[in-house]
Amino acid sequence: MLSLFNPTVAWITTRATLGRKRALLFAIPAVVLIVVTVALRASRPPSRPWPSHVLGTFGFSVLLPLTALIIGCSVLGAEIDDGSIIHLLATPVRRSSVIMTKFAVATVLTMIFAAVPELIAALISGGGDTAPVIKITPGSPPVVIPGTAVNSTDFAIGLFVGALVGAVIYNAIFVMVSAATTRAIAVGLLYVLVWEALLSNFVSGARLLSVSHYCLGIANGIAHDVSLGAGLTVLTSVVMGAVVTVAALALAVNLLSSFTLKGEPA
Amino acid sequence: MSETPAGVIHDLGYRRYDGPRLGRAQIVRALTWHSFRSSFGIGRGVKAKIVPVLACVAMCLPAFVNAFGVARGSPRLFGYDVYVPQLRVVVLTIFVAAQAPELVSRDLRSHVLPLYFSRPMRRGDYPLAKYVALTAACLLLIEVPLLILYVGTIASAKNGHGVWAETRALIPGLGVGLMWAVLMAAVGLVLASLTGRRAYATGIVAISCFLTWTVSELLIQAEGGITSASAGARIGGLFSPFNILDGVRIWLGGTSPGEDANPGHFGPLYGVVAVLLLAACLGGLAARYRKLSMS
Repeated sequence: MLSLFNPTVAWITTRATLGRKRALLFAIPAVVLIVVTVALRASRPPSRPWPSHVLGTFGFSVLLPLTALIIGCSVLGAEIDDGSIIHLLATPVRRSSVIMTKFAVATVLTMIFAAVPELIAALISGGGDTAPVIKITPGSPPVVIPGTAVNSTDFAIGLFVGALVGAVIYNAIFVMVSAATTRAIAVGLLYVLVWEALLSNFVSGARLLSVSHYCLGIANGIAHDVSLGAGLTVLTSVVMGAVVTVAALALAVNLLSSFTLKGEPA
Repeated sequence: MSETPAGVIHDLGYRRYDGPRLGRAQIVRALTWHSFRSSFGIGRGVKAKIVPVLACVAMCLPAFVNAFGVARGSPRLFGYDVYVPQLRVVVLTIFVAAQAPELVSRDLRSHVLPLYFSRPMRRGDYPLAKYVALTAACLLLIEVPLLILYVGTIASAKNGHGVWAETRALIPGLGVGLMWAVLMAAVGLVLASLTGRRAYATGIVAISCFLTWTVSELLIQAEGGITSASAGARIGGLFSPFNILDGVRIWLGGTSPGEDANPGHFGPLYGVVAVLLLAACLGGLAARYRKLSMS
C-alpha cells in the first residue's frame, strides 16, 4: 500500500496546485454556494424545500464537479501541459504510484474546497422541511399535511458524506481524463455540462451512470429527504460509485504507463 | 515602394512583393473573414470541427423534429423567441467557451500579435474584427435553427393567413437571437482574452457562464418559479447574462414562458444592466489590446 503513495510527489503536487494564482479559482464556487445559502436563509423561513435544491442540485451537479474538474485536471494536467511531467516519469517512481498519489492529493483538496463548504452551507440552511402535501378529495375541504421537519444534523451530515464520496469519484474520473487527453478541461466541461447537469436530470435512465446521482443517493440514505430527488438507492450508489472509481483509476494507470509526450496542444 | 506609409514594416527581408497594398480596411475584412471561418473550424483539422458541428446539430435537431410534428398536424412545438431555452443556453455556452479561445487565445499563446500590429492596422481593429466574427458565428448558430423552424412550420401551413402569423412570430425571435449573439460574443471574447492557454480560457468562459446561469435559475426557483411575482424572483435573473437577456425579452413584450419571472417594473433595470454589461465587455476587450505588451 505504501508503494502506491509517494510523499514527495504528494508534496510537490500540493505545492504546485496551491501555489499559483489559479488556486483562488477553487474557492469561487464554494463562496457562491455559501453566499446564496446565506441570502436565501436571511430572506425566508426554512420551510420550503430550497435547501435541498441549493445543496443537492446545485451542490452536487455544479459545485462539486466544477471544483473537482479544476483541481483534478490541474494536478496531472498542468504538468503534462508544460511538459515537466517528463522529469517525474523519468524517475523510478511507479506510474501507478504517480496516479494514486495525485488522485489522493486532488481528492483531499476537493474535500476541503467543496465538501466542507457544503457542510457549512447545510448547517447554515438549517435543514428545512419537506414540502407540504395538499390532499384534495371530492366533496370535502382540502386537507393540508404540513411537511415533516428534516433533522438538520442528519441533513448536513448526509450532504457532507455525499460530497466526500463525490470528491473521490469525480477526481478519479478527471485524473483519468487528463491522462487520456491534452484537452482535459474542455472534455471534462463537456461531460459536466451535458451529462451531469442536463441529461441526468431529464433522462431517468442516465441516472445509473451519473456521479451526481450516486452522491444524492448516498446523501439521501442519511438525510432521508424526499426533495433531494434521489433516484438511486444507497446500495446501488455505493456499488456503482466504487465500480466507476476503480475503473477510472485502472484506466488512468494504464494510460500513463503507455504515455508519450505530444507536441504543444494550443 | 516609394508610396509605402512610414512606420509600417513591409519588407521583412524575405521575398519582394510589388503588387498593390490593400490597406487597413482590407486587412480588417480579411481578419474578420478568417476568424469567422475558424470559429466553425473551416480551414482547420477535423478535431477543430467537432465542437462547432455538434453544436449546430444539437441546435437544429428540435427544428427538424418540429417539421415532422407539424406535418402530422400538431401545432408548432417551440417558440421562436425562446426556442428550447435550456438547450440553447447550454449549447451556446459550449460553443462560445470552445470557440472564443480559438479566436483570441491562440494568437496570444504563439506571440503573433506583433506581426498583426506591424501592419497598417490600429490597436482597436484586431478586437473589432474578432468580435464581429464571433458575433456573426453565434448569430448563424442561433438564427439558422429558427429559420428551419419557420420553414418547417409554413411548409404545412394551410393558407396565407397562417404563413403571415408565423412570419410575425418569427421576426421578434430573430431579434432576440441578435441580442444573444451580440452580448454572448462580447462576454466570451473578453474572458477568453485574459489568458493565452486555451484550456484555461475555455474553463473560465464556461464556468463563469454556467455558474452564473445556475445561480440565477436557483434563485428564481427558490423564490417561487417563473410564475412568481415576488421581488426576489423578479431580480433573480440579473445574475447571469442569459437570464438578463431573457428579462429584456420579457420587458420588451415577450410573452412565451422562458427562463425568467416577469420582471414587471424591474424591466428597465434589465435593459440597463444588459447595455452596461455589453459596454463593460467591449471596453474591457479594447483595453486588453491597448495595454498588451508586444512580447
